[in-house]
Formats: sequence, C-alpha cells, structure tokens
Amino acid sequence: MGGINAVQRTSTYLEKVEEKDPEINSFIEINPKAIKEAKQVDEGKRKGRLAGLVVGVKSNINVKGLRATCASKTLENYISPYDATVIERVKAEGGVIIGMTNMDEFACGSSGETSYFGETNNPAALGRIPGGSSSGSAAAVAAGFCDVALGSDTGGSIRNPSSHCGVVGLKPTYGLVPRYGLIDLAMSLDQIGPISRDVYTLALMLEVIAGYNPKEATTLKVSKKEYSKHLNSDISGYKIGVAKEFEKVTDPRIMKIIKKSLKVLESRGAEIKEIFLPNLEKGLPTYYLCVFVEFFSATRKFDGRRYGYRIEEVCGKEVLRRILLGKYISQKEYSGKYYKRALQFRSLIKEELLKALEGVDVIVGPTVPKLPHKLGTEIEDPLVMYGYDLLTVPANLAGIPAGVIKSGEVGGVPVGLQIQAKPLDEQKILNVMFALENS
Amino acid sequence: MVEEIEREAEKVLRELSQVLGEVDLEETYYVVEEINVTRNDENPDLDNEFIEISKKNAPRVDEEGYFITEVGRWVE
Repeated sequence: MGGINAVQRTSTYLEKVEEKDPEINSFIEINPKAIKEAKQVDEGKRKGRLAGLVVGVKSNINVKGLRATCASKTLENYISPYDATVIERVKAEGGVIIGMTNMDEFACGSSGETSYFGETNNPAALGRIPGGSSSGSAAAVAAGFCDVALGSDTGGSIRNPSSHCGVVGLKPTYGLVPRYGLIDLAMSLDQIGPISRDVYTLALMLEVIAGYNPKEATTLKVSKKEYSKHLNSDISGYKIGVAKEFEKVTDPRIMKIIKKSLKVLESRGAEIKEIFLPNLEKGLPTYYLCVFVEFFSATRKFDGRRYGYRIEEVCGKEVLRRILLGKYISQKEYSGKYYKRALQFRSLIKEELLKALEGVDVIVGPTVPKLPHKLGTEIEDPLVMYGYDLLTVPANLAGIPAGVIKSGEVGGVPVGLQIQAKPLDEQKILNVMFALENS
Repeated sequence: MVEEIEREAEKVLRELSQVLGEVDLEETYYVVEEINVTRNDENPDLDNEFIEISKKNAPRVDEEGYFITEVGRWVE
C-alpha cells in the first residue's frame, strides 16, 4: 500500500458512509478512532501488509473499545474489553478498522432482516435482501464503504451475502482461522473469513488472519501461507467437479449463469468432471438440528448478570425459536431422536463430500439455490427461509473451505459461484476465483 | 410469542427429521482430529483496561468495584 495516504483514504470512506449508509444500514457503529489509527499508518508507526486498508468488522467479533452487539438488544451496550485474535492480527498489519457492521441477530438468519438495528439493504440490488448473516459486511464492501470486511460463516453467512451482493467471500477450513473473540452461534461450525471486492485483497486478508493460536483449542497447527503471492490464474489441468444434484434444487435462471462460468473455466484449460452428492438435501436438516442444540448451549451465558440483558426477554423471534428448539432437542426425551441422528448424518455428508473431492481439485456450483427476495416480504414458514442455506451448509458440516465470486446477474440481481475444496486447499479456490476475475 | 413458537417447534423438528432417514454411522461430535489440547504455561497478563471495560458492561457494580449479581427470577 506504499504511497497511499491512509487518512485521506479513511476520510473518503467515512464521508461516503455518512452520506449513503442511511439507505443501506450496513454499519451499527463507526470507530471514532479510525482517523487516529490511519494517521499512525501515515506516520509509519503502524506498518504491515494491510497498512492503510480500511476494514469493516461484523458485530459479533470483539474489537476492544467498540460494541460487539451481535445486532441484538441483548448486547446493545456491550463494549468489547479485548481484541479477538483476528483483530490483533489486522491491527498488527496496519489495517484501519472503520466500524462494526450490521448482521442478522446472533447470526441467526440468511437475509439480513433480523437485526435489532434494522434490516440492511442490498447495494447491488436495492430493495432486495443482501443475504445473511454477514449482511452488513457484504453490503459495506459492495457499497464501497470499506476495502475489506470480516464476517463469520456457520452455514453460509459469508458466502450467501457475498453472492447476493456481488462481492467475493471465503469461508476458510475449520480451524485455519482462530475463533478466539468471536461470539459463537455454533462452535463446531463457525469460522471467521474475509469479504472484499477483489480476489487479491481477499487472499491478503486471509493470510493475515489465518494461523495457529494456542488460546483456541481448535486452531490447526499448520504453517503460514502467503496466498496473495501465490495467486495464479493458470488453472489448466484443474479437475472441476460438478454435481447433477445442484441442478435439481436450484432456480434454472441461476443455473444458466453458473453454466456460463463453467464454460469459461473450461476455456481456460480446466476439465469438468461429474461428481455425485446423493445426500445433498440432507445437509439442511442435519445442519439445523446441530445448530439449534449448539446455539442453545452458547446462549446460556447471556443471563443478564455480568453484561447485557437476559436473552429470552429481549431477543427477536428467530433467535427465540432456535433457543427453544435447542432446549427441546436437548431434553432427555428427544435425545437420540434428533441430535444423535443429525450427528450421524453429519458423518455421512462429510464422508460423501471428501470422497467426491478425492477425484477433483475443486467442486463448483451455485451458492444459493434461489434469488434474494424483496425486503419486507413476509416469510412465515422458517423452513422456507432456511432453504437459502441448502448449498452452503455442507461445507460447514464437512469443515472444508469454500469461496464465492460473482458469476453473473439475473435481472440485475448478482449470482455467486461457489467453489469448494479439500481441507486447507484455499489456494486452489483463490486461483479459480482469480482465473474468473481475469476472464 | 413463546407459545406460538412452541406450537411450531414440533412441526419444524418433525419436518426436518423426516428428510433424514436412518443411517448406521458413528456420530461426528466435533472436528477433533487435529484438536490442540495443550498449551504452554505462562504468567497471565493483566490488562487493567479489560477490568475497567468489564465493570462498565456490568449491570450493577458496588462501591468497591465488585459485580453485584443476583439469583435469577427463573431459578427462584
């Protein structure tokens, strides 16, 4: 970022947020120290790979001194007393945090509509949902309010809004990025990841936040990789898996766009191979049955004693639904009937995906099976809303990485292509994205 | 709202579990294959700001700075 005036850059973004964010509602809080932090970059006091890059942070990641609200009344006044590991790393590399982004309440949603601070609009398709739950992060990047943002992905929460907003996003391999300082939705599935407008910035942010942390028991002891340095748009010889099952569950208008991108990849020397995912549709119930139980457990600390309010007294309908469902499943009479079976199917889906990946480098397909609905549309049946996650949850259940890049548009609404790979094969995903970006 | 959700709950669970059939496999409880369970012993680093901010977050703090908690109504 040599030669870039960080104060000027940050000021420009802040002015844009002030002018245009009232319409988008992508930020919950702006960092009052953003200009001061940018000044330190210009003075050479803060250096690094992200020096001068302006970063938005999802409101469920702790940034010391700013509020981590999870977009809920429960934590509306909760000030983070420490930095999450990813934030320590962003700050250490000179990133300037512009503010905390809006999201679905406690990450419980796929539309960006369940926030206590109001719904977020889609800058790429005004009047439609931006997707969720990292709605504000994707919308802020798409609207040009920051260079890059951090989101979290439990069942598609980075990839779904990236697809709807026409930006690039990546959910890393489970354990690659430390979760220390992330307020959990479901701890066995959550991962923090980046969202940006270009693949290089995405790769750069990923290499900064990835890596082992002894404070977090599930981080992997793997060597640091320089994804941005190794970006390569030459994908000739890559074997790309495509499943027939994607077509069965996806809007034909979306599939038409995805097939065009597959042609592009083929024209760049990649080989398309058919793969089989017969249990694809079982991913959704498996995922939700696991999430209800883990979320119920995660919310027991919100009892209103040390901070915030007691969650059940102030939360929204979807959060309360998941708490109550988790409670029911956790009760003795239900054990074995739902949760145990979901964990068995989790094994099945993981095995199936890893087996499919044995013969290919990546699996490519749609990200979301349907187009984003218009803001304000009444969707009473929760299962209809959960349907947005059908194609994204398998990657979380299997712990594999998955990225999203814009493939095209249907009537002005962006459609994202999803690329999944073997554990720790983020570089291949980024290379395929880079190839598409340069086509 | 609670009653309404409770009424829906069984339906949601029934519909979700109907999609799943039966399968004879070991459960995946957690991604535990690579789990790191050891860490080096170190002296804790005390951040005074952490304590100050935590006090601000606390619903009630006494004159000496101790958190005032109470038994929740729901367990009385």
